[in-house]
Amino acid sequence: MENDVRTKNKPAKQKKKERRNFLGKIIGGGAAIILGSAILSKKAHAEKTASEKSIETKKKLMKVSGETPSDYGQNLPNPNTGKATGPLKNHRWMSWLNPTTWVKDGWVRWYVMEAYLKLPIWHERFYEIKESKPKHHWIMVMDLRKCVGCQSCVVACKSENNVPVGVFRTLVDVMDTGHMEQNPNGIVITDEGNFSPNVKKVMLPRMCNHCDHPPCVEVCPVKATFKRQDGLVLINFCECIGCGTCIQACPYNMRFFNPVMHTADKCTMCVDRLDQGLEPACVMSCVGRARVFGDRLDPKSEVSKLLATFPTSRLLLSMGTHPQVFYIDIDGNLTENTNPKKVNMAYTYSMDFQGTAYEKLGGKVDMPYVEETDKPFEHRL
Amino acid sequence: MLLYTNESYGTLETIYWGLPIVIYPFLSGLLAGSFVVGALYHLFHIEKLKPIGKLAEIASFAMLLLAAMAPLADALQPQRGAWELYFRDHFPYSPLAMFIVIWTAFFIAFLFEMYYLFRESNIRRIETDKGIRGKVAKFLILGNSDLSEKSIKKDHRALWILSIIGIGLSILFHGYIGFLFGAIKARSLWSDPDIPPMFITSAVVSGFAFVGLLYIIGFKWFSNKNKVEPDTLDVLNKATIFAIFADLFFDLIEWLFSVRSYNSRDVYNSWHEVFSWAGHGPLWFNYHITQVTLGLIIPALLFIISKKIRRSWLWTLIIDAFITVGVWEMRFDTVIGGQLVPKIGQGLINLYIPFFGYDGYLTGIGLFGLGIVILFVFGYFLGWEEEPEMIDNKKIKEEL
Repeated sequence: MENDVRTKNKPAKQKKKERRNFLGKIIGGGAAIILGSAILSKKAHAEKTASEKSIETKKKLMKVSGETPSDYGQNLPNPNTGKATGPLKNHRWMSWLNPTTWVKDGWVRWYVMEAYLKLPIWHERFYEIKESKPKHHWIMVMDLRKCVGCQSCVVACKSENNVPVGVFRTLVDVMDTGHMEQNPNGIVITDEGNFSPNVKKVMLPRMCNHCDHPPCVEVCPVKATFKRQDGLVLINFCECIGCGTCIQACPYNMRFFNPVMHTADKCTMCVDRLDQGLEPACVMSCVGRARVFGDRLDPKSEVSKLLATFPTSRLLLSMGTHPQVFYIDIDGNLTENTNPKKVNMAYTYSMDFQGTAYEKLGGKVDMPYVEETDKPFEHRL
Repeated sequence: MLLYTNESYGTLETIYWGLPIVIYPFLSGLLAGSFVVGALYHLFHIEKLKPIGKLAEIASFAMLLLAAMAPLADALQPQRGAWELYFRDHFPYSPLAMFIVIWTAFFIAFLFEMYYLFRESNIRRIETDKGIRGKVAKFLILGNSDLSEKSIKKDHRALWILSIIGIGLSILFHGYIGFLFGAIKARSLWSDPDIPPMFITSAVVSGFAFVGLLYIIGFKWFSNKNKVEPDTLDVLNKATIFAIFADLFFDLIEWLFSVRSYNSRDVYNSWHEVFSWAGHGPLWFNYHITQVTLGLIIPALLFIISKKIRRSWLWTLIIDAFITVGVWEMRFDTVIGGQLVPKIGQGLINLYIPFFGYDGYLTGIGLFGLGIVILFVFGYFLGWEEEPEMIDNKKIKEEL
């Protein structure tokens, strides 16, 4: 009864006061939580920077003790315990499972990539590009007479674009062609007679063909990938939903899932370099100048001259994709899907570790189990 | 968790579309097929199919909700999907972009279908059930509590029209999934004009089998009053025979097309490498034994041979389980088998399905588990039986 009387007979002023008190409690509590969390986070940050500072001092000590920088990240003592760690558990080449490259390393600059020059883009009806009278049409010519299979273009691409380990934007397949000939003076002696090998090593640099009719662009459900007016097929990584349809649709298998970014990824013809007036990294690093990059619309460019003077071929023309990477002196067995009876994939990226072709060569490779760590960058020191 | 996936085990060519994409056409096949069963009753008023009318619709609606989740589960950035598929849709150029348009149209049509189908029972439920189900039913009738003969006739008329639209949409819905694979020219085993009709016929087969399974399990062990009626099973199984023969016809065409040299070298070689019985391809057992023999030929023969088998609930339960597994194998062989052939390499790619990860077994189990949960929720609130759903559980207990 008393309670009822109290609540009913409360004056309006008191009620207001109560409300104010309640509001004040909420605001005060919220502020306290925010302040507390800020202090805690700052403390954590301070701890982090402190550990970084200790690493720097360790480095200085290293210099004094005469350790070479090549030991960096390999057999260095652990900064916390001081013990030598030995060979690292998480090797850099295993970055599929433990990526050591990440977004903050500055390897993704999609805001530069997407229409830096404000060129118009197409998602379908690619015949309109020709009608729009583009200024440039970038293509690549692979002069296979000069390719030695040194893989420096692969390395240059990886370091330029920070491509994670396990995937490639460009690669050079090395294959054997030819057959054994019967020869009385042959070196290979069998029960059926003597043979001499008439075989040849062939190199096949593969990259995105930046097709004029790209099937990968048309199948994208969210218009994340597009063809720019100057002929480049690019992806906007902020819009890609990672459904993988474009990867399935590319007959050259030159698209892949980026394990760090979790989107589709592909060769961009180093578009950020190109927009600044530089050539792609693979072209710059090619030791034999086998990769030639240029403007097909410019009759004075090296590319146009090569196309005018030498017969060229392209990969998988039967797919109707109109690829824009031209090959000089390519073996006819390589332009379509390779037949195992005629072409032997000796050392190739195209052959999977997990495929039957690799097993035939010499047993299965079991991918080692790598532990997932909370701090994958710790071993960098 | 994301790291332990299929991709981490390959270098260049891997199976990019894993288990969720196998589940995706399987679920939408169940959806399309069971919708056809439900619509058969509303269109032609086959009285023997009346007990499974509501069950088929509920199963179909649950699968519709779930069918959208499977491809999103396989996408690596699903959080962008909902916004971008609606507002940056690459319609009509991308086959996957058609998905969201047809799915939305089907979803809206289905909402109307569910409203008219359950309006009468919902009004009755409000009177009998004072609990949460009654409250939900009160919301679901949207204020129209007219139980006169005229309004019920109106409902039936609406259902008739919606069934016609729905059958068209369900065939479109499942046919385009076939087109999604058929449109990809780079995969030699996928770019096949036969795939859309093959998908549709096998969807109808799986739908009949799935509804049969649910009907027998539900009415045999979970129903308070109803029993499995042999007449209903007979009609359902006769329809299944026709569907199986249509499916076998398309399978035969596709088989002839790929095995003989009527096709390109790539298709011929890759079919023989993956499915050949004599060559022991990795999927020969799945294709020849599970999919075709156990999943289609033997069930059809058993149903044809004797009327007793068609009217027996136990035989139908076993045979329907075999058919469902066979249709699952068909989806598996299409989706995984097509990706086992490398695009630029030689040999075949080894199949590896992880347990964890976005395309692992756990995701598949989760998707099916979610389907069962959705089915139970619909069954609880809307009622899956024709007759005793209006009766409160307490009353039944009192009677007993």
